[in-house]
Amino acid sequence: MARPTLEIRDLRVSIEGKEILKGLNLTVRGGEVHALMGPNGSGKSTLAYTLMGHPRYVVEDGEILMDGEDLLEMEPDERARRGLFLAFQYPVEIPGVTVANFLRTAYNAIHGNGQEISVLEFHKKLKEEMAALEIDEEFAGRYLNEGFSGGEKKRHEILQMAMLKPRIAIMDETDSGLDIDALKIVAEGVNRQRSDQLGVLVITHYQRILRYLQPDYVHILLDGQIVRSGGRELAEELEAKGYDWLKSEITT
Amino acid sequence: MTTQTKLDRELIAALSERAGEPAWARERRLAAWNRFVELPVPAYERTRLKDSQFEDFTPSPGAAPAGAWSDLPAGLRAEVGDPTGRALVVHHNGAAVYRQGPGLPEGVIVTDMATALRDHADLVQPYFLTRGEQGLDNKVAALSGALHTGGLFVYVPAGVNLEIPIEYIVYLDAAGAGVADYTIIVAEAGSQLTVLETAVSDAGAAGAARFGLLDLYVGEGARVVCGNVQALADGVQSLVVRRVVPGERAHVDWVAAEFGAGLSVNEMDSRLEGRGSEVRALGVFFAGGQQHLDLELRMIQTGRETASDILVRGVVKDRGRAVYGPYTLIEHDAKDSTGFQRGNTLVLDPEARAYSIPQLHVVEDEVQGAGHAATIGKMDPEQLFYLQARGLNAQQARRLIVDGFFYPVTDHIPVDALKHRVMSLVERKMAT
Repeated sequence: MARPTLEIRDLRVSIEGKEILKGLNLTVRGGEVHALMGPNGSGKSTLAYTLMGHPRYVVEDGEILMDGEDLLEMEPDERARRGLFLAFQYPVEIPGVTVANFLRTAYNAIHGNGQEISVLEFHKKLKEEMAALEIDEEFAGRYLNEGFSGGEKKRHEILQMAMLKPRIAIMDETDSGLDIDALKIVAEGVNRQRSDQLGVLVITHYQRILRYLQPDYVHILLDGQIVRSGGRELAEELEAKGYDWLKSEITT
Repeated sequence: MTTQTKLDRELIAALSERAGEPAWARERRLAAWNRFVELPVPAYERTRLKDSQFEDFTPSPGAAPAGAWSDLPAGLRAEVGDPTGRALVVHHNGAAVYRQGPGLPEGVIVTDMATALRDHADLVQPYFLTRGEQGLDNKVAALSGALHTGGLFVYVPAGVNLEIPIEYIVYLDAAGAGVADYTIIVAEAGSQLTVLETAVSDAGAAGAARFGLLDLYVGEGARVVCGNVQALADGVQSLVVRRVVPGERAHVDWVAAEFGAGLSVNEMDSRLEGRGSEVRALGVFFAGGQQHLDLELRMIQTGRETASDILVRGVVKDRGRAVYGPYTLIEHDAKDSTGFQRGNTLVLDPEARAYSIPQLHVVEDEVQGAGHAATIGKMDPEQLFYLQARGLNAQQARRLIVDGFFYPVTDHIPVDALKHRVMSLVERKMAT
């Protein structure tokens, strides 16, 4: 299978009439891990939601292509079926729907094609992935995100990623609200999935998670544009000097 | 060919005569008829009933008895499913036409009302249309009592645990037919019983009307589950009253599932007189198309240490309308009682309407607890987006959210067959 590609070209996005992304360019390929860093309000989550197709975000201009196909023409579920995955910053609670039932429905929606996975096979796979993420077995019977702790919600997002096997994964501040142990488990969970068939875009405020995820590229987002791209060392420089350093460099 | 038959005293008397009922039964029917004439049309808060709703139909003589299961209409058999090993009584256009059941314990009686009035008159007499004076009467109950040609008589002696559910089917397929049924269920002290009613119809039943009355007698310490599923066709009208006055420490589970009919009022009245008696009402409703469904649940608590609990969830879509009207009254001297209500309605479409009219009156000062919570809300677009982001299309996502919404009620339905029936009707409703 060909390596996946996500191309974002001159993307301009507004929400309620206010422009948030102001011409963003980025390409993520299978086998690569990109980190997108930026302060609050720079447009990080706007990019994540726009890529997944949230109806509140209005694309004013630009293109988003996945494997050369226009993502903007697709509903969120069509994007998911092409292999796009968003690990939510704030996973939504859905009472009365169990994790196991939800995951099997989602798995069949994405990979089914009339060859739906058997209940037995699915549960075996689920059990393995849960063990790897150190998630308790009773979790499968709980209602989707209802009453989950912050850490459980994030681990559950990575569990979904492991089960649904996306081709391009966007992680929207998955590190926020995690203690160091949970952060390691989550990062290892992502590392296990790394391959030529998966491209990852890690969106984060802090470089903490990048120590464990080891990105190939780092991009800095300021006021709706990527102002600098580089290797891992860029994240370290940013950590040492802070976002103000970049802001002053850009204005001068 | 049907001819419009006038509804009057003569008709009621003739019905009774033809059925060979004892004179006292005929008198009580006629007394019910008198009350029907006198009583005003019930004033439900959000359901305006008119006189025409009690007049515009042709009283049905009932279908002919079926010798075997295979003689019953195919539509009916499809709705009921495999009859093997089940205790079933089937009503077709107002008459009991089929009955089957495995051997029941000594002394248990399950039969249609007409047979019961002939064969067990002494047993039926103390219960037959005797509840009118307890403030539980209304026009629907009176008409059903006067006009009934169908209905069931179930008797479970003291201490008997009847494990097999008694299932009772009301099936309609005659256009414009008016059918009435009256059911009496007696669970003597310490007995246990489950009764499940299903009302279904063929599309040919347009303009038909069903009137129903159920009187439940639950003796000291007895436990009864009484469920009903209303899945009549859109063109049918359904007005049914069910009522219970449980004995000391008796426990009653009402389960109401309203899915069908163009207009339906399902009223369940419980008068908790027996000390320590408990009544729980679980309700599910789903109105679509042009339907108007009204679920009226009343708990009147006069006995000490009584407990009532109402838990209802409903969905409205298209131009459907639904009314959830719980009423709890904890009377003076009903010390150490509890009364709770919880109701949530989900509105799926902009033209659908939901009305929630909870009433909770606590007259007694020394109660253990009382409260009510009612919400009406729309589907959360963030929930839809989350599920769509995981590959579910909009319809699958809505279905999963609705299933989950009903879950707190369906999960509590104490009979598996009933639970699955309700869940499959939710599914069917989501698909249309």
